[in-house]
Amino acid sequence: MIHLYPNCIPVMGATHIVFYDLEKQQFKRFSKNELFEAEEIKTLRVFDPDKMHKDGVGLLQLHQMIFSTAASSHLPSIQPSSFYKWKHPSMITNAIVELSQQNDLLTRAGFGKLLLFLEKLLCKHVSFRIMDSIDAEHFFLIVKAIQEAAIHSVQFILPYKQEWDTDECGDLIMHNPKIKWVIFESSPFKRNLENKIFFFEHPVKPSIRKDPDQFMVNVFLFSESQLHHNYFNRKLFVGPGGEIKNAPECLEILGNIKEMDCPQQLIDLVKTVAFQKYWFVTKDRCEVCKDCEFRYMCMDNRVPQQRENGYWYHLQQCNYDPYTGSWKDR
Amino acid sequence: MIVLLSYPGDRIAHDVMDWLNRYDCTYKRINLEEEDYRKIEVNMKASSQIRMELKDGTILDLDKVSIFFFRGGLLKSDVHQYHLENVPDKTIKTHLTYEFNTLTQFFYHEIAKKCLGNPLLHPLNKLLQLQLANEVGLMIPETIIRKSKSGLAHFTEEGMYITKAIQENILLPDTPSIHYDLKVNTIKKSELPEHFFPSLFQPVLSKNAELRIFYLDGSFYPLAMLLHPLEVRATDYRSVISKIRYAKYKLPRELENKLGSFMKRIGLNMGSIDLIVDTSGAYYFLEVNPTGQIGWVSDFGNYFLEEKIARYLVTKEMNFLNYESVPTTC
Repeated sequence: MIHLYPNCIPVMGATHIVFYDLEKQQFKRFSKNELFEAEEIKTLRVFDPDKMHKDGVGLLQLHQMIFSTAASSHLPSIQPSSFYKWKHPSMITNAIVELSQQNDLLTRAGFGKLLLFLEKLLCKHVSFRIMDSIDAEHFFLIVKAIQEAAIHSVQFILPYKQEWDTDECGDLIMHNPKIKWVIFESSPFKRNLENKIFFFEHPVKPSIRKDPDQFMVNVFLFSESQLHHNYFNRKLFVGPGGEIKNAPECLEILGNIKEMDCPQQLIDLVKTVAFQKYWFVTKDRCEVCKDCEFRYMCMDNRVPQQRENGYWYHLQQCNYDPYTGSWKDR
Repeated sequence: MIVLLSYPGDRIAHDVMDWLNRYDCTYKRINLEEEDYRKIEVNMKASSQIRMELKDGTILDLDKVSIFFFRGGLLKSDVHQYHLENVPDKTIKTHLTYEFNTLTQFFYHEIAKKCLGNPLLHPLNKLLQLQLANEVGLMIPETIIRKSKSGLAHFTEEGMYITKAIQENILLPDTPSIHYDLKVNTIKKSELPEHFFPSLFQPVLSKNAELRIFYLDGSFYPLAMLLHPLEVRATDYRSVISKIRYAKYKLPRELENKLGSFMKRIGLNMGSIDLIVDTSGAYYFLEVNPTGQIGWVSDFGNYFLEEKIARYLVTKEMNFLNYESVPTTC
């Protein structure tokens, strides 16, 4: 008998199968034809390694994903993988916050309040977008405050100013382990400094376009995707006016941070059904996505719409078609 | 109150603290390496009262602690700095070392009475472990310690044998290894010098897998480490860590009973146990690490061990608080 290693998990799509290698944090994609005979494919609902043709077995052996029972005859106690539960202590795992004069979050008191709120939510990973022009000293103060906070990682997007293009600024960013990357947008030039400081000539705009080169495979994301919508689950967005939403793409504004004096108010909001509307919408319940082999690694920022039968769909089409196995723009 | 005794950078303590925060539980984290043993106060009459002033100015009163969680880091001695006229430094050092050891061992003894983990067993003698394992019926690799080649008369010249540190490896500076420099190695008798520092030798077992089992107060959380058959069966899994496959594993009940007896005998309610499964399916005990890293066992087994540890601590805290709330006059 042939067995897949338990942490090499096959995910069947309409035309292709992707093996999620949770240990090596990579994936391998094969067409069903590469692994199974045409007749077998017609009735294949669940991946069965014993039904693969010889070449298919060879292919998976080549990629070191399978072992035979003969080789492991003394290992009857290996358990199947069970990444079908997901827990996390943070009420909010990731936040996107737009800092502006309008929402008071660029002031010392306002930013301090925000950091306290995020700390109480146990939010450790934050993307900041600075909406208004600030000077270098202000930016340094923001970075200093983050350094002293419980936040583990930050990303910054801010408008380009010539004073950012200095060794002092560069050193501050490069040597700060909490800063994952900084993008200076609307820059007069395009530049990439060690994949940590980027100068973009245009403003950064959100996109619904997916790119398999940006897909991530790991235990955390895979198990979260079994039970949750990995883009919306435990996420928080604060807009330039202080408006609070689950994510930037959501239409529903659920509160305003300017009207909150204490962290408990935000915690209470996060616990509401309205805030968590999309948290449990798994790709398995979304039309088209449920037939896509990338469904447990794709961070899809399209807001799902609900049908009467309880299934969900999207208004915009994805740039990947699982029924043909092709990308629109690659 | 819950007290975590751990060194900076310990991921497990950090993750457990996140869960404690989620459960809104009061706790304190202390690194004993940075505290001053001279601030320990002991009062003994009908009962013992032990307190210690911490460097942040607060008082650690052992009576007010519900449970300790020990992850490493012990009080440091500074006896070398004391001098007395007309008394040799060596005499002073010996005397003060005894004084330091008596005071700190008593302190750890009191902590160990209500502790997950055990500061008295840090480090834990590996030879004692092997002996105790043998006594409870666990199989151990044949282990010999010799100081000369002539002491290995029954070894064949070209046979391969394992040699490793009796107790602990050392990390040499400027080595390419990010883990250890002197890991487990295989060696031929013909390669040995005539005389050497007392060294440990074991036969090479024909390995099918290694098991890392996290033990928590009677429960076992095993993870098997499998090498693909195409890979060389490494002597030490740490040298081929990127090629390992992991799988949850079900231990035989009889083995669990023996391991449970072993942990009770050795005085541990928590630890990471290493076993080898050979090609005949036999289990060999290697060692238990009271404070080893378990993040990867937790992740690849999807065990959520940090949450389980936090729940254990919170339960102890709840029990402690309930007891304290019972009026003494009733």
